[in-house]
Amino acid sequence: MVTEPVISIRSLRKGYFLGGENEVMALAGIDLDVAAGEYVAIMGPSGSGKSTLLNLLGCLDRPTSGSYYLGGDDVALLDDDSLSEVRGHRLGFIFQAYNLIAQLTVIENIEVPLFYQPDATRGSSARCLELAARVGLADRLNHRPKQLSGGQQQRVAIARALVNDPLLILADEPTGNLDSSTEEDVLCLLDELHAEGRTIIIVTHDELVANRADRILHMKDGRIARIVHRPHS
Amino acid sequence: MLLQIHRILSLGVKNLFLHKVRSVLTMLGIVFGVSSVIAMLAVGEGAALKARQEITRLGSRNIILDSVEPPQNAASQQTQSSAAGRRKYGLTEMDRTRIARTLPHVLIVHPESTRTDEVTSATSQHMATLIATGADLPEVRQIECEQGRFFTDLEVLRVAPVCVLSPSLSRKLIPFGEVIGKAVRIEADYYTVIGISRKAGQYHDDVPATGKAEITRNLVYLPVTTARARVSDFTFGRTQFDTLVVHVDDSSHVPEVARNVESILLSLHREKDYKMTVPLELLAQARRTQRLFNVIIGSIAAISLLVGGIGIMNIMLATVTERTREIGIRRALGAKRRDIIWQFLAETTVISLTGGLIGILLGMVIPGLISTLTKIPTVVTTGSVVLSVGISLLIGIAFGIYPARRAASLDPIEALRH
Repeated sequence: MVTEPVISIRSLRKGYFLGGENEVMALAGIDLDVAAGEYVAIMGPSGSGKSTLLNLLGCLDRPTSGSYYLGGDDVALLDDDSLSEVRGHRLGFIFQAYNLIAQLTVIENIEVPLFYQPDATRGSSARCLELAARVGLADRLNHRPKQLSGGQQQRVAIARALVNDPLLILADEPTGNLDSSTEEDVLCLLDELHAEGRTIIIVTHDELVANRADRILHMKDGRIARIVHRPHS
Repeated sequence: MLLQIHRILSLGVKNLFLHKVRSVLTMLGIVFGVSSVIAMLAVGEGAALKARQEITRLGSRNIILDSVEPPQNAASQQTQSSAAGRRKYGLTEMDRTRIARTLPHVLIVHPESTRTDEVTSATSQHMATLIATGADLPEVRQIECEQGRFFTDLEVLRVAPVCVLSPSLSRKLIPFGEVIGKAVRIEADYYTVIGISRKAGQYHDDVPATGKAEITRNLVYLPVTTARARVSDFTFGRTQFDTLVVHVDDSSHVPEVARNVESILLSLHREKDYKMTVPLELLAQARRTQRLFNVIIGSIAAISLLVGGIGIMNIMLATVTERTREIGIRRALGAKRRDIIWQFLAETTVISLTGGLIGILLGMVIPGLISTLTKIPTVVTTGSVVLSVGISLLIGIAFGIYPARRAASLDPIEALRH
């Protein structure tokens, strides 16, 4: 299957000025291609640059230099508004801390990304209901996040990440706050999405979590130190 | 576009409903600011309206001269108390002819004097106010005859025994049949009724009412010459004219004529035994007072609304801090800076507009209460309502923009970490 890669990154660098002249390179030149439907895990110790990479992949930040093609478009140096648009249209986020909006109900939380896409109102409520059912929360539509368990909250977040039919799903330690049984639920959900052909990038500390991916990138000192391909049965 | 506005506003309303007490308290500043503005303006407008009505009734083309008993110093009062008691004072025939003959732009110098006396008909007797006046009264004082006619210059000149009655008096004196042509008696003389005036009250509200208000509605208009020749109170009165009304051809000439009248009177009178009233000047004075009043009200209102606005800003800044994480989440999920600005502006605008509308309702009820309780007239003008809505909208935007911009300027990564 030869298709255009979802992500194509060339010599991506990101430096921070931490007072004075010394520039600290958080990313020191990354090259990465992710094909459509691929499931990639990023591992590495703290300070290895994986959070920085995830922020850049998530269009939350701009690189110092280098190029980033997302779905064929250069998004490395877009302005703030355009980056917001890219996030809203092409990306789905799953965070370690779930990041649901506390005062909104389950169904309203799932709808949030659509709120910022004026063209995506028709039939959206049906889609949200469908996604809620899919993550097994059809009977808790009007609950607030506080009334849900951690696993349930993360499933709401996954439904929210899917509502805009994203090109790429970014998961930042999605099971970091969960116990082992709910962790399994969430990982199975991700496996299902992968099986459907979704492109997923997951950042994790956990070898077991990473082992579910097609490819594992080990990062160190702002570079990709090692790539492990996992042969799939 | 409309859908978008609706979505943003409903999100704003929803967020406000999550903190009902806080939102209502924030709103109170605007409610009281706006309602006090409207109430104060209504009271001011009511007072001004009343003043204008009273002044207009005096006539904007008139200059009114009244005889005033001069203040007597203690020495003269003691030495010639009996003589001083009968001493003449006030406006004279000399003043009248001098003003009428020499000043340009003066159309008429119209005399008026009033006394109270008994009027008798074939069937009854009533106390009434006698008004000795000229034939120009209808024009100068805007009085019309309901029936019959007013007396003419010729009748004044010939000292004709005729009179015009106010409607209420004519009904009491001659309850049945034709009034015009009947005779009524004052002291020893008979006078033929030649007319009935319309709406007497409108003119002589300012006649000093001697005791009963009824007398002020019982009016008898007599030719000035006749009254002076036949009615003893006029004949032996201490003044020749109680009042002279100088009727000017155009209101633009009133100030000039007033100055000239003043200098004539100064040259003819040894002491200040007259008073000049210029309704036009009073009107201008009333307008100036009204403007000053409005400026003061405006400043008070501005301060209270400023306080309300600062209250809104204060709460919104706290809200922004409290909701930093939410802002980060929304930004990560595709919200542009402008979306965040609109979200917060929607909340401040909803607060201030709702507060403004409640304030308007309250501001319309309060003047009504004031009017019914104290009989002070109040007028709620459309202008003040429109102004209040505009101001409250403006406050919402002005005091919302800073917190909103601050919210939007948050870095999404930082905000998410919060």
